Amino acid sequence: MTALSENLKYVRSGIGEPDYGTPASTSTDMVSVTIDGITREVAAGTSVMRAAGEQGCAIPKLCATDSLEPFGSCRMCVVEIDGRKGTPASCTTPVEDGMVVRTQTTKVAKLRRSVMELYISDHPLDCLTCPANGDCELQDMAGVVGLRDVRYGYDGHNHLKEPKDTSNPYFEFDGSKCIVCNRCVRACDEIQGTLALTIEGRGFNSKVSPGGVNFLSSECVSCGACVQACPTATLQEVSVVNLGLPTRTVQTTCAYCGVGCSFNAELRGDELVRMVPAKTGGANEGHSCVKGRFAWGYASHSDRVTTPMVRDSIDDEWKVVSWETAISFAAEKFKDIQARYGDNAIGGVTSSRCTNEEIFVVQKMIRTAFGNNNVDTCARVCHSPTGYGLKNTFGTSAGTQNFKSVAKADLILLIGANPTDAHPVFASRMKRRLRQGAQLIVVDPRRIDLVKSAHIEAEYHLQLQPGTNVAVVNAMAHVIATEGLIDENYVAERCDTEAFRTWRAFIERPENSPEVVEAQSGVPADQIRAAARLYAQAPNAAIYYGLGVTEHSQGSTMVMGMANLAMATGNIGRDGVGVNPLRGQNNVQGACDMGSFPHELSGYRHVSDIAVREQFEMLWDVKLLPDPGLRIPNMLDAAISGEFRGIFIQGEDLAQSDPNTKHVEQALRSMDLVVVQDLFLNETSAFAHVFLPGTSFLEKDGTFTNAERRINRVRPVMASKTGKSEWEIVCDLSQAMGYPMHYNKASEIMDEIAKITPTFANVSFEMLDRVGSVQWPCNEAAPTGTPIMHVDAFVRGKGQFLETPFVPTDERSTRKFPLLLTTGRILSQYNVGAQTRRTDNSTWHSEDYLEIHEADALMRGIQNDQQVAVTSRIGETILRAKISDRVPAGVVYTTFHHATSGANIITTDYSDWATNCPEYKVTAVEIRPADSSVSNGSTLDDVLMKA
Amino acid sequence: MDVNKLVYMALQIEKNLPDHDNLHTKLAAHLESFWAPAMRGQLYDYVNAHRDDFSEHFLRAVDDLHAQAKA
Repeated sequence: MTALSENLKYVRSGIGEPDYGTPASTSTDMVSVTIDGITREVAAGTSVMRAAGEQGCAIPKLCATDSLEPFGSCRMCVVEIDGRKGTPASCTTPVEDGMVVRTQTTKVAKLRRSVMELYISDHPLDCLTCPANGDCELQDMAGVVGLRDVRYGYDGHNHLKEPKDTSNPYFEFDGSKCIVCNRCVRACDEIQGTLALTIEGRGFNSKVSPGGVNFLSSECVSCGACVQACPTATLQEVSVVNLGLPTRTVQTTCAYCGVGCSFNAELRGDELVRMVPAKTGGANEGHSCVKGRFAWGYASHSDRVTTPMVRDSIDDEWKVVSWETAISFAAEKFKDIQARYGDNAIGGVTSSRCTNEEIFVVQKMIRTAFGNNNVDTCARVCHSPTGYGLKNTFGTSAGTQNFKSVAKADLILLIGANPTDAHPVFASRMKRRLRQGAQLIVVDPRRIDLVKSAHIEAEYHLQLQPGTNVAVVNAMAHVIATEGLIDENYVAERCDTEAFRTWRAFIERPENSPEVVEAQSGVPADQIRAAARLYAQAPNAAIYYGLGVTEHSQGSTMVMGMANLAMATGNIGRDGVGVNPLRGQNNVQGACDMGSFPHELSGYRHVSDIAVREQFEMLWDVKLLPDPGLRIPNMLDAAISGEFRGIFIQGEDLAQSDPNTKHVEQALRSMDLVVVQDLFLNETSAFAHVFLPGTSFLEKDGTFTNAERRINRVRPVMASKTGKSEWEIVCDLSQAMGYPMHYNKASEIMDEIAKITPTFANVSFEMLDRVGSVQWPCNEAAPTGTPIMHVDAFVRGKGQFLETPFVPTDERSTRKFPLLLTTGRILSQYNVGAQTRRTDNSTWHSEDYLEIHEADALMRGIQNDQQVAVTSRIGETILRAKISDRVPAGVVYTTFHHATSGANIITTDYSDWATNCPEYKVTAVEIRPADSSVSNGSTLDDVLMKA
Repeated sequence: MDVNKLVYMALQIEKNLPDHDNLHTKLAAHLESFWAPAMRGQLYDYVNAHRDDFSEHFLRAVDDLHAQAKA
């Protein structure tokens, strides 16, 4: 039975979700209300519209939808309420105790029909050829109110001749169909928080406008919230225009960033028509971004490889072979390497793009069939310092909060993260809270959008020099410790007091004072002091951080520094606070949870723990090694020195995503066998001998775990294009290597994970299908999961303060390489771009740019949009310059989404001291015009001399 | 593996750990927890041949690990 047929019970006929018109009330007080003769208890604050809808008495509506606050403009939802004059709008009228409401009376029916007549008089009557035919609320409501005639005629003068805006590749705006209900404008304001749309004109001339020439050139971020909110075909997905309405729905999880949004995949037959964010999604609650909502076309891109391929040498052409041949080819070569060079000469890498189940079987294959612990994961190059830092301070390698928690934060300390680009759906939650009045401190070398955007302005932007995070966080802690801002009661009750005393003595040293750190970081001491006071004195202060924290040579120290700060101020263990990593990929958390690191089995238990090892040995019937294996950088180094000869790479493009490309390529070229399991031939597969085609998230059956530890179901939306699930291929390889591994379906893998991993003990596909999603730990002690961690006690018992000495990176700017390059993501592209570059998202970002400050550009004779050579100690690449005041003088910035720009050609081998997470965020470089005759390696002085 | 890189990495760990009397214990524990045995062995061989280049804490950590491995 295929994964698709296994999951047929989750396929829902039809599309859409119930819409109760206004958001649910959060009140716990109940009132009694009678609607159309039915009396029941309803949460206080619920609108009459919602209360009626919940009992099956849906009231007609056009401007109301339950993702938006009530607006009361369309007048379709009028009702009669006993004892009240007139006909109030049910969307803006909250229920009251004893209220008696009538939703269907002659009076309101007449009013609704009259209103509908006005709408239809200025709306095209092309329903039969309209793309929203059958999915149009205006059409539905015309039917519901019994519209039979329009006294004003059908030749409206206000909208019918509006031109169509087709500038956006994913949706159209047809102004002729607009009823000016404001839902799109409000969605952009309230849900997305971009405020790109507005209503232009007044009265009959009111029109929705993106505020510029068209949608594409406007500030619109193509999140799709407006399209979702539109009750007509005014804002319509191009895919629906082209293909027609979908007919069935499967709920699944997005495979882009670590937010882990739930989506309703809507299909016609086996063809995906659109992805609609699910209101029931715990992470996203009905919101989406341009990637998850629209950029799924790569799954059926013609570049997909769907048949296995092998070759003896990387200089040979690929040969298409059967699965059996490919598996046997790989197994024989792996075994041959081990026979000649020893058991430790091979290993593998798991992928954060894959499901927990797929990851679990790869690490299991390596520990059993390969017989070693040489397994690592791409989390190595992003959030491994998070695991190290949070485990040592709090006791577990994960963020402390759920996403919802940000709604209770009074102060947000955002460090080294750019959520509006990299985690946009969470950013919308954060922006909503900031618009409500929460304060914001941004710590980043670059001026990200959140520093100042619509209705948001950070109190402080600590624009530090790349590589000085630890100095700044220590200085903030110094202020808190020396100015009496420590939450002494919290520390005494919750933390290890001896460790705290040691830490306090360390942090109060003069070397950690803001005045000393100012010289190191470039951040004025008074700003550090003010920011520290703001953080310490906020009722609820929450830290959110990203790769700008971890991808440094002191990444682990910085994570511990933030944990110290949160413990010292009592900001751990309740809503609105915490230390929260914004994970890069969809399943980074899961990859780490599943035992992908060479020193840990699933659930973060060290391989040296005899009792733990014995449990696995009993279950797996094999002897496991008690020592850590090689990390990715160790594997690459060992390959170059000839000790490591074969690798299984699950869905990671090492040759593009890992630092110092030349070094990575040399390592891959040195190996006797490179097996790549992926969707596309990528930079790494150029060095591969076996290519095992993988499945896209639309074909997978399993689970992803997002940044808030939420385990979400990933359901197969369509049949596997390769005919196999990825875990089946790994099982076949394991079998061919001599270790039998067999599962009938993915759920059996999760059952094994739950059996052997205490934090997953209660998790099963059956449970997830029943409750939607759950946050680990989910076990006997926490049967419904754990939204907030460390509530009464830290996982490790007492919170552990740790000293965090600031050790500057060895990567320094010099006369020869005077600028510091740092890297990041852009909204429309994703990581190495393998997926998004194969979609229309390239409309927004067709190449990587180098942001450079005007002063630095001027000194080098660089013009905007000019091609420039970027040279580091490691290599040189060419990028287009964009003169920008987002970066300070002395700092340059680029994204790394395009293989052609090769940002990692110039990044170095420096890495985090504790975890070897690469130092992507600090590379000393020099820039010159690409067409300059100045030779590679020239100094700025040389350039200036020539000028 | 390139032993110079291993030495650099181990020294980097030493530099980033708090400088207390138990530094050697912490360094040894870190190497034991996160380094593959072959890496630790290579490190020991090099350090043992160049003992003058390393701090007392560093030598103690590497020696302790080596003794444990032999035991």
